[in-house]
Amino acid sequence: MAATYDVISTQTLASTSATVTLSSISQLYTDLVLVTQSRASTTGTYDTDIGIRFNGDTSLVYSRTAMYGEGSNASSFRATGEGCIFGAVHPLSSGTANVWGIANYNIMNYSQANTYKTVLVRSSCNGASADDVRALVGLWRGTPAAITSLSLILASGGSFAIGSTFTLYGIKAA
Amino acid sequence: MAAHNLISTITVGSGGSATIDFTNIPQTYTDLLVVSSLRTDAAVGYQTSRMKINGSTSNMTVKNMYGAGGGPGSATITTYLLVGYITGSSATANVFNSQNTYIPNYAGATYKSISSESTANNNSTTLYAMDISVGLWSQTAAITSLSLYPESGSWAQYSTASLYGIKNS
Repeated sequence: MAATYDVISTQTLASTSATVTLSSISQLYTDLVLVTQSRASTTGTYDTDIGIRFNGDTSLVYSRTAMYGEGSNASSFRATGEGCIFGAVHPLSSGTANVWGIANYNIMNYSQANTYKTVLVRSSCNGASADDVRALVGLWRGTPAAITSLSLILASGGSFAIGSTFTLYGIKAA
Repeated sequence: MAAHNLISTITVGSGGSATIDFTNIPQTYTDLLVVSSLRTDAAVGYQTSRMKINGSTSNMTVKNMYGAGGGPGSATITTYLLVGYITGSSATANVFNSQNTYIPNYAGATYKSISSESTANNNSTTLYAMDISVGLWSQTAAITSLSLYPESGSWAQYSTASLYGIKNS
């Protein structure tokens, strides 16, 4: 199998962290894939959203359109003018033990310096008190730039739990 | 460094097969990915594609989100591990589904989350479905085998499934 899918970086948290940043992203690939498996250390029974932002841009220049399935109903949601792309989901600390939320992000043409960046996200967590399956598209429409770093934060304002893992892959089209 | 490594690929031969089995899965990777193109010989337009882990269908919970041409829906399943929708023998000939199943930290000691997405499209205004689902296998054992099986019938000839091991280091 040709090596078109490479690990750029990986982090496993040895202590809780409010923000996870993957920086100095190589510009040698065509697309990026970010895979996360995480929980929040924040107290609470249900789940919480994870936000992603690029190049440290906290301006209100992010938008998203999402679909949610909660086990009985499906719904769709749209938001604009946000400070990051919320949508991925994982359990809060009181959620069922041993259950981790997972998310897969596809970031296409990330090194193009002249276009806004689109990200596709599939995310889910499944447990007795925290369950959701989601698909969404997010848009970063800040000043066009190549993505050189990305950060993950929690909507609840808490921290990622110890053992949460974050792996960034680069995909080469040629 | 190559992150995706092919562990095994299986193509169903003439006569079909009740299951597609990956056994003795190496424990040397971080995550598993199963990429499939499947069809059942059951006389249906489409039905569910299912998976056993370590031979078990117990301790499974699935939440999914699906579309079949009308309004989207969501369901909870506790009797089997849903990993997608597949075309059946009543669908247009030669149409197989597309299905990805991702299992992070499969060798770890936590409960196992299983993320799947699939489409069983068809050259018709009916008989198609797409699905995104999350499964939870509430067991802490490392995953050593996976078995794909259709809701009814057997896998049709030319159905294929490939198992990849993914390393994050």
